[in-house]
Amino acid sequence: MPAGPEARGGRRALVLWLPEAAADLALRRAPNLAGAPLAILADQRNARVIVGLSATAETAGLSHGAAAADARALQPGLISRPLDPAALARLAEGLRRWLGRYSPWIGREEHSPGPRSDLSFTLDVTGCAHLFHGEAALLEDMLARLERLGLRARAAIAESKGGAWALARYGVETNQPPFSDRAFIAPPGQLRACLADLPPTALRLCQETADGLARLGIRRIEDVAAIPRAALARRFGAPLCRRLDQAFGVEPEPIAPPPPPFRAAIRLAFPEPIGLLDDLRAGLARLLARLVERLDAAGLDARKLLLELRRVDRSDQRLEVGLAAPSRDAAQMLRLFEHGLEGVQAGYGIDAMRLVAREVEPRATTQHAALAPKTMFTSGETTNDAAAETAALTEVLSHIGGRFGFDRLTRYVKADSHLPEKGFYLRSAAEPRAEEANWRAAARARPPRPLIGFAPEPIAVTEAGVERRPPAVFRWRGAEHKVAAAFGPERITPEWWLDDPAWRSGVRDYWRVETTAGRRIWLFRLAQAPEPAWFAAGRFA
Amino acid sequence: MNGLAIDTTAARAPLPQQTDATNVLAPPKLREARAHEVSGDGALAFAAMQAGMRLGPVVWIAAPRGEGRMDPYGLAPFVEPSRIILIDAPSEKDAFWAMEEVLRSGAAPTVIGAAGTAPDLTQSRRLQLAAEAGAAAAGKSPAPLAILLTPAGAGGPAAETRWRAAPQPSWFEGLAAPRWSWELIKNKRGPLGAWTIEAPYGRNAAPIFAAQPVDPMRVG
Repeated sequence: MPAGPEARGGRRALVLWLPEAAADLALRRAPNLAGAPLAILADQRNARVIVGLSATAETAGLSHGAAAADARALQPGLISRPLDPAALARLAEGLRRWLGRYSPWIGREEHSPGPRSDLSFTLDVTGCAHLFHGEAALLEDMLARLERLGLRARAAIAESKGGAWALARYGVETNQPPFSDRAFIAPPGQLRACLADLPPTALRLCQETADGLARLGIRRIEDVAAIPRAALARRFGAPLCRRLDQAFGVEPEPIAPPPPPFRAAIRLAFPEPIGLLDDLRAGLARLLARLVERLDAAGLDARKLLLELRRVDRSDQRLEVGLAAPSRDAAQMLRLFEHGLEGVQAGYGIDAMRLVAREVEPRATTQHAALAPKTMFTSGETTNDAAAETAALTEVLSHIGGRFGFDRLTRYVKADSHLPEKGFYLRSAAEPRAEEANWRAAARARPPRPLIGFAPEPIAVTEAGVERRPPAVFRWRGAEHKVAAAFGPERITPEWWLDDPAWRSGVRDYWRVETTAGRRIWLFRLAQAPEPAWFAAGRFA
Repeated sequence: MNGLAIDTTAARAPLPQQTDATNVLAPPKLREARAHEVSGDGALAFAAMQAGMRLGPVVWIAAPRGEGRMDPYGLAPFVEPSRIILIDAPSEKDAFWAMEEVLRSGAAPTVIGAAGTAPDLTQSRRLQLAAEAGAAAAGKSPAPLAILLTPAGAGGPAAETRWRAAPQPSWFEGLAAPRWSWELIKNKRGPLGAWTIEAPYGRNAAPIFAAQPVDPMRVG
């Protein structure tokens, strides 16, 4: 039996650190910048600071966390790029999948705190290294491949995640041959010795604790470990002791991979091509039943479905349906596909179907009707009725949304603005409703608003002296209106923090006027206009 | 029924099937499982008030040729805007199609159509049939009804009732209590009539609308 680390039951954790992932990614995208001083900038605490540097910029003396303006003064030729978190996330996702060649057990990617744009992965490589002829060869292979991709990386293997983390970042200074300056391996049983000379920040401490240790003159992990536990915990709290234990592998720290994303794609291949509508329907029903089963197991509801039909002549037909509310009702989904299925051109026949849930949402749980609080007006029976009613409405709205587009189905949502046209907005009715808005109370809290509001229409006023009060007679929409009563003014000022072209004309005085014919119109006057300027902006009835 | 526009105690009580001209307080109600039409300057308020007198979701279907945006703060005294689902149909034809679909499903008790035009004979007839089918689909829930906002002087031949709604000058205090006149100018089964609707409309007023039948002699 080989005397490897696995034989003794020890785990081996690998930490891969890409200290300048964002800068390397930017250089990969723009190869013509190779060799140029490049900085990645991001806004932190109200300042533009450097969070990533290319190798040339680093040797030129620039440092992370420096203000962008200072860095430009030091290095006039500095090229800067804003941090692209989405691209960094995509890189992380890609790398995580790629790392699967070394180990099947890969933890979530991590980022260092502070002004850095790095990536860090933890792999459990227990029992994996011999496939690459040893740990050293594994690290060499991994780093060489990353270097070919233009990604600077460091890696370390140790018995604990904390130890490997420390060695990957701080191990270089204490590195011994035969390892390269980018990789470090702590041989089994020697982790404590390997960590001894590293600075205490390698223990993943918060800034406060790290500063406290520095003030006491503690510069090595070994010095921290030498302090009696009780005193250490009293002075710096339990987290420091915990970090120490995690680094030395005394306290286990699991490597937790993120859950795999839910993929619901189900296919059905036919021994003979089919072409009849009933056969298609039956095939779809079978796919839907399996999809719903899978959705049920995952606790999800489908929002958008895609059906791909492969014809014998290899041409694909695709049908997509959206649901106005997330659903797991196979019968309802089948009905929504009905319209599309009728338009399918089967040609020489269809030999495979594939159903994909394009968008899924976590299922909203509802209280069982029997447990729902009963009031005077709702018995258990009516609650069920109400649920059935909503399902029916959802279905018909899905049907209409499928034809018109879901952006045409809207609901009123309150907005935080005092301007009449911005006090609300329309949101797609397909989106889940946030809360039951009480508009009546909101409407009572502000002066009466018109039933319908339109873009300001100038009204013709002939009389003079209408600066303070609305005109007695005015022409609007081709008719003359005599004012019988007027209420106002209600002064509405523009939102000065937003430049809205409609409100550039300034403060408005709104009046509700009633004409002798009974029409109730909302008029306003531009309070800051040199000449009296009157407009109609809505009507109440 | 005490005639309150929003009466939660009457949650699922059957609505009277006849517009009740003798009750001086309750605004006239529309027959269920039918399509009704309304025109005039007060048509929007008519539709909103009728929706407010009914329970459940309100589906408001509009075609692109609209006057402007309905303001939920302005709608609130008539009907709670969170009950409304707006459907913006790409064309008039699509608006009628959507109305028919919603009616037939029986899922929304009130369907309001502002297509901008009056339905022709076929569309009008189809809406009636859809409303009837919806009443069967709705089961124990309130049967759906449709209110079409049509241009003045136009209307679908198959409409159950046709109304002319116009704002009227207030009795007193200017805008404090707006009034409307509702004239029933076509009624397939039942007499015609006219009502005056008054709302103590103000900042703190409860949304209560009182109706009064107008003396037939005065309607002319």
